[in-house]
Amino acid sequence: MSSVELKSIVKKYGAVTAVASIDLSVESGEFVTLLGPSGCGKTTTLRMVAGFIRPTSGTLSIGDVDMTGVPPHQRTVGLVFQNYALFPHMTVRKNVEFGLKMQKVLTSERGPRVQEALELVQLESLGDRMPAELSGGQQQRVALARALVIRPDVLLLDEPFGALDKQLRDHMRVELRELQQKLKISTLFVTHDQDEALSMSDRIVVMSEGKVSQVGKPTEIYEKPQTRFVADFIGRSNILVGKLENKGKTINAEGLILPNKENMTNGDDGVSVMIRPECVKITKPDPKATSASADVKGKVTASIYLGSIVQYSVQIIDGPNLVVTQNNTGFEDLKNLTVGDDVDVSFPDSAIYILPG
Amino acid sequence: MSRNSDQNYGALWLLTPTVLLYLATFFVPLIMLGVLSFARFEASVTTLGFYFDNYVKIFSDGITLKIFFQTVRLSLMITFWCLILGYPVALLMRSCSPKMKMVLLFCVVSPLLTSIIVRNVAWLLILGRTGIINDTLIQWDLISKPLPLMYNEFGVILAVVHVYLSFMVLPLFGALNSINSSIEEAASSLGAPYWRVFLSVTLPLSLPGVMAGCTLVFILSMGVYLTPVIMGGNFVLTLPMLITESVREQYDWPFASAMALMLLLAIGFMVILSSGVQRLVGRR
Repeated sequence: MSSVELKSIVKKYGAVTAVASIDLSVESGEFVTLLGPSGCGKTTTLRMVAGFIRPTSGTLSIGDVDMTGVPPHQRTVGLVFQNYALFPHMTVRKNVEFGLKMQKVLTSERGPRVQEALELVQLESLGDRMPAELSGGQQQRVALARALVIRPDVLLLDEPFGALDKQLRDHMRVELRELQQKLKISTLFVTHDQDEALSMSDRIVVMSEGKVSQVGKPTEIYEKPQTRFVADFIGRSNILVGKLENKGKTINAEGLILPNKENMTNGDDGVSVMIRPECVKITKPDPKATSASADVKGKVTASIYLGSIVQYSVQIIDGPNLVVTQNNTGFEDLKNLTVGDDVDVSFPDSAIYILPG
Repeated sequence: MSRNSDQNYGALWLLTPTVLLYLATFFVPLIMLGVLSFARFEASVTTLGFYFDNYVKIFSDGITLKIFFQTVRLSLMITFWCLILGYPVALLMRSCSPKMKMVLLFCVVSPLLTSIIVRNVAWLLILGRTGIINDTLIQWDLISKPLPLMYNEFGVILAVVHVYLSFMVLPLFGALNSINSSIEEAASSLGAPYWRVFLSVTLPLSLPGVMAGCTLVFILSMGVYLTPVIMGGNFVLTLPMLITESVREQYDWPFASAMALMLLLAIGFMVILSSGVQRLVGRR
């Protein structure tokens, strides 16, 4: 059974197409993330599932029931907003109780269920506070409790951590994912933050310009991007235009000769090669070795110290400029690399990925 | 922060003209009013002193107090109708397109941009014995003699509501506009039908605007003079009319001053009451 299913959903505003024919499903208990830059249609899609926006065409079902034209209050969805959207004139308890009241749950049953929901988000002692008396993280937890207490068919999260500072965001990320797995609640999560998407999701739906670019597990999305857009958007990457050479055995990527390990035959046309910065190895040239030992030589043109990693720009001799990151393991060897230094560059097989199509 | 407040103090002298204007046109006359209200008026002669004659007269002449309460009642009714008619307008202004918003705003404010005489003559043409409404209804044989649409409370309330509606709509719109619509969406997603979202979220959150609008309209209505005179003829008497009459016909400045102070006190009481209610709502 799928909790949410969108079939060729289209949303147009006049001549502008916000969402162009999306197919999407959230299986029971699954955590699906809609990931994309702002304006890609991910929030519009979420709001269509919530019922605030009516699709121009297509069908939408929740819990295997057609809900395409059903108003929001007749859908059982739990919605959490970026700005929390708590009722400012009600206590935390009343906020959480509101949905139960609307579902006409008996008064005697409401108390325990509210308490249970507050315990779930570890706020059981703050039930009598007003929202304005809580911190941002606490307010977001109340919003979560308020959405969960009605036992929704699906939990919809619209950039819920956008207003929190980084530490709290990282903490809430773990907490939400644990809660979601504990309750086995189907979840549709909207974010533009790839770290959130990669760390929390069962499946990621990458969207661009109203269309789905790729659907897959976090590892698939990161390691095997299907389009240039996905490769560019997720993580840092060097994307080079290459040509098959030497009877298809090697690829000439902007002057950099790489082995064609997957035996790509893309006609005779160009291919796009993705090289993740963290996979490239750079080392100081060994003065004892002969100059022929290294395949590729380069020169450091910029270095940015980022704490746990150091990011270098390396100009390959007779080739492209690559972004390379190295873990800051404390080895003096790398630390002493400065702008203008010559380096040997090596590419393990896993560093080279040829984008399909 | 400290630098900021320094700058503010530096600009204080810019207030001088305003302060002088207020002293000359508000505080000085107000003190004179207070002094005069305790003076004695006998045989057209005003004797300054500390007499309670005028205040005793207000409570004992049988007519002043009655007209005072009539004025309060009229003002409350005007406030009520402004609220009832203004709230939907403010709601619509909040949800419609910016262009439509300007059109609505213009409609609401337009009475303020019209001369009071023109406005009331227009009402005469519409509501009078031979006005458009009565003429049409008689022509269609729906009524046999003209309906009394003017020179009564109905006419006064209608005309005053027409002018003061904007003073209700603007604070209401301000309050409604400051409500984040995602709060209402949250209520909706939790299963609240539209009417329930309105009652549980929109209305309570707009209460500051309701209070502000009601206070403003009530204060203005307590002092409105020309419109009731024209629309009410001599049939609807209000305290401002009584004050004017006292000054103009009897030259009884002391009694007029006492009544004016009473009006001021009533308004002051209302302002304190409404701010008290607002604080209560804010704390809840």
